[in-house]
Amino acid sequence: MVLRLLTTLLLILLPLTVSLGHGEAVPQEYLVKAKYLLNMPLFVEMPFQAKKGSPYTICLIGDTPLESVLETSRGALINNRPLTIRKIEDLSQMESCQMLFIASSERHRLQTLLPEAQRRSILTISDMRDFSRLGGMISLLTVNNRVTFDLNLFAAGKASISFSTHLLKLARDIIK
Amino acid sequence: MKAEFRQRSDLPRPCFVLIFLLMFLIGIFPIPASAQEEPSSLNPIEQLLSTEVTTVTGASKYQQELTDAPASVTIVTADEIRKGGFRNLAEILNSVGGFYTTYVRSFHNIGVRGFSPLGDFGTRILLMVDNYRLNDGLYESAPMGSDFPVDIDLIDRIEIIRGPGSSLYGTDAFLAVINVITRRGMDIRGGEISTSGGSYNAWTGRVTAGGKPAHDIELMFSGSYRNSAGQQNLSFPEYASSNYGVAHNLDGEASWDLFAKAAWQDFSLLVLHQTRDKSVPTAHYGTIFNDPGESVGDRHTLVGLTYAHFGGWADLTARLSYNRYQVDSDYPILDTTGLRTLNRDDNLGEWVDSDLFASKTIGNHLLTVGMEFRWQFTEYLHNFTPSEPLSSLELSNHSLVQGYYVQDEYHLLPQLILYAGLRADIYDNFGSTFNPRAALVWKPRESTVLRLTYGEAFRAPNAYELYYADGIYQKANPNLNPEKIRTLEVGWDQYYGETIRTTVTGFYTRISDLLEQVTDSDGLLVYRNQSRVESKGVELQVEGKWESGFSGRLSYNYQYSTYLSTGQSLANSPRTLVKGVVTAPLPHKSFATLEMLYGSSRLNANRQEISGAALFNLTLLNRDLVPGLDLSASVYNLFNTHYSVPSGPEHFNYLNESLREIPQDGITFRIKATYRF
Repeated sequence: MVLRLLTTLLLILLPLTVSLGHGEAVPQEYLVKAKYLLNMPLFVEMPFQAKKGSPYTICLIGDTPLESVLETSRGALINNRPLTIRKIEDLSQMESCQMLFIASSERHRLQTLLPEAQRRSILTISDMRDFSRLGGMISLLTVNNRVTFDLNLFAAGKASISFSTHLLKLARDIIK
Repeated sequence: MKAEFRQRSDLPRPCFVLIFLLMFLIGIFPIPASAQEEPSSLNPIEQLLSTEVTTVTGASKYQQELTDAPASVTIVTADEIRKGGFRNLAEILNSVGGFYTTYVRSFHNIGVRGFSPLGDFGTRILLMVDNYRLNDGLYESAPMGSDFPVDIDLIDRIEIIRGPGSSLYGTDAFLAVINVITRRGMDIRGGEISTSGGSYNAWTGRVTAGGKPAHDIELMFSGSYRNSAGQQNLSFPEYASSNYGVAHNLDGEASWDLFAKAAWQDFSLLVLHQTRDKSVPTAHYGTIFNDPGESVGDRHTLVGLTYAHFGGWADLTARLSYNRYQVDSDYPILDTTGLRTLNRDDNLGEWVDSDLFASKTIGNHLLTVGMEFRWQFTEYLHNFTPSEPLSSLELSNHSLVQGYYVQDEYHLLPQLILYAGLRADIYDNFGSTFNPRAALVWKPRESTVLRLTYGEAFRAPNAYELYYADGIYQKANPNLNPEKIRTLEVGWDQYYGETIRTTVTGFYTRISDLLEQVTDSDGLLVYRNQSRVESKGVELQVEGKWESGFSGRLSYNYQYSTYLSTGQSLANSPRTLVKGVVTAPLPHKSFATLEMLYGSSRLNANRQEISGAALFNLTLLNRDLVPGLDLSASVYNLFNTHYSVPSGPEHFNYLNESLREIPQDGITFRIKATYRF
């Protein structure tokens, strides 16, 4: 009986491994966070009027599973601009970014990354703990099994970025 | 030995395997389109805000993603509870891989990974409601059946965390920690009424109101009742000398509860109470069989206040609660003159619990430190026979439990987390005990989680085991030490695409100083730190969830538990558990859920083999036929399989006849309607 069940299970598991193992495979929280990144620009007012057709660049810094999730949306239109995803290593590569996602692994150098992003009016977003309290603009956090977000108006204001009233209404917490 | 894990369900074996496979094939090939659960008119951010992701709070005392947790975790959501047609907490837990129930028709005992001693008080699982401890201060037992003091419609989700948890929670977090998170006022937004009716004249009713009257205030109130006549005639052939072995009208149960919750800024208040009365049809502890006086009544009360502030210098949580547990039992017996009389247990526990902890990120470390004080100011045990006032027994005690704990979550590498935790508990009677837990969580790829955990846990002797002495049958032993468990566990979680997750877990466990009742040289029963137990096993699980509303889960558990001294296998310990559930969307926002539960044979207290069974439950749920109305119809034990659970050492009547097994329900049904407004 035991053997038979084990075999049954293996038979079920094996094809799964083969057929689905190649696809992008990430826990659901990352998919939700990726969708946040893709949708936030609709509710954020940036200081510079972008040229029509120029790409919207989301930059990622540090180790995060979001990279592979976002790759699948490359080329999608964001505010009528084609999306590009860039993985960057340090400050000097920030130039073309409209949005910067900072992975938790970069916590130690937040105090150099954030002022630079602010100076260039780049929207900063992260899922590290206390990101908005540390000076980031949008903090993604999981509360009661749902991904929600905090906004830091002060940090955004310094970069001349403003959030739509709709976004402000939905935020969990707002730092002024 | 071979004979022990022969499969003995009523269904022929090939049929069983076939149904099993079929359930999964249905699950693997979802039908697309048409059956989208809720068409949305929400904007994308609102949609994201309402998308559920799986996190767990109970594994580390703070919220973390399931893939980061230092233990094997299963989450059961309100949606699964509705679709599965579950009627009480025990049924929900019984659907989870590695868990099984023993319903002795007064209490439900829950076993985990093959460990569920008979005649026990259900003391080795820590049960919490919204992070408040529910295990009582008298027996340390967790109310996990119909005595669970919260209506299950109020559950938002249940976190089931396998393995030792004493490094954060102290006593009772021995085999698992179960944290029931209830819905918030915000989730209700208005009112709800619910009613159901089913077999054995079972009726339930509930009224709930909740909302968010101001920006930072949430309120919720709920009240419900349940009533069931139970089986009219239950047959116990071993008791054939009284009333042909039939317990007539002795299976009734009635309960009601109140629940209130309020939240304001960082503060939240919880108030709950349940009163339950159950007739006991089995005769136990030498009572007269088929006597309408035999019953048990329990009352749980909890008032809790939490302050939780996140952000700032550190995340801080302070929790204070008052708890009351009263349990009264009536035992019809023969008095010294041979006349029928009623003997009563009238027990009361009251305690105040305070828990204070803080978490702070320092570099790559997430450090948590905390302390807990539990002042059990009433531990009152009273046994008396009204007609014989001289034979009364009354014991009153109190005790203080102090716990100090620390845990570090250290991100060694972006893909590698090390957890190290330790808790010291100080008790009045036996002194101190230290319980560590260490875990390595490695994510070599985003879709793969590997986990290695070593943990120790304890279960402190309860007031009954320490002090109960009637001078006739049982004597006290205030020198008892805590039971100890050491567990080594390896786990592998694999995600396939967005929808499928497989879990493979292997465990090795050693329990020492197990508290057991033995007969001493003077002929009196006494509790002793007695046996050592070893158990090992594997757990396999596949689960999938598709956007169309299709979902399925299949789990297989094999475990083997023995006494180290004799090599004998444990009683009430099924070798194999197989659980499967598949939910299929039907037109018009309807869902059909088929559940399959199989447990192999178990031994009773006299080491007789009680055969296992495969059971099937089917629930149909319709949503919003009329806006706000949920309708469901369930059939339990679809094939009317006759099955029993093992009886415990307490199951004997006044003629000293012992029960072999406790019969369970055959096919039953329930229909239920819930209206939201």
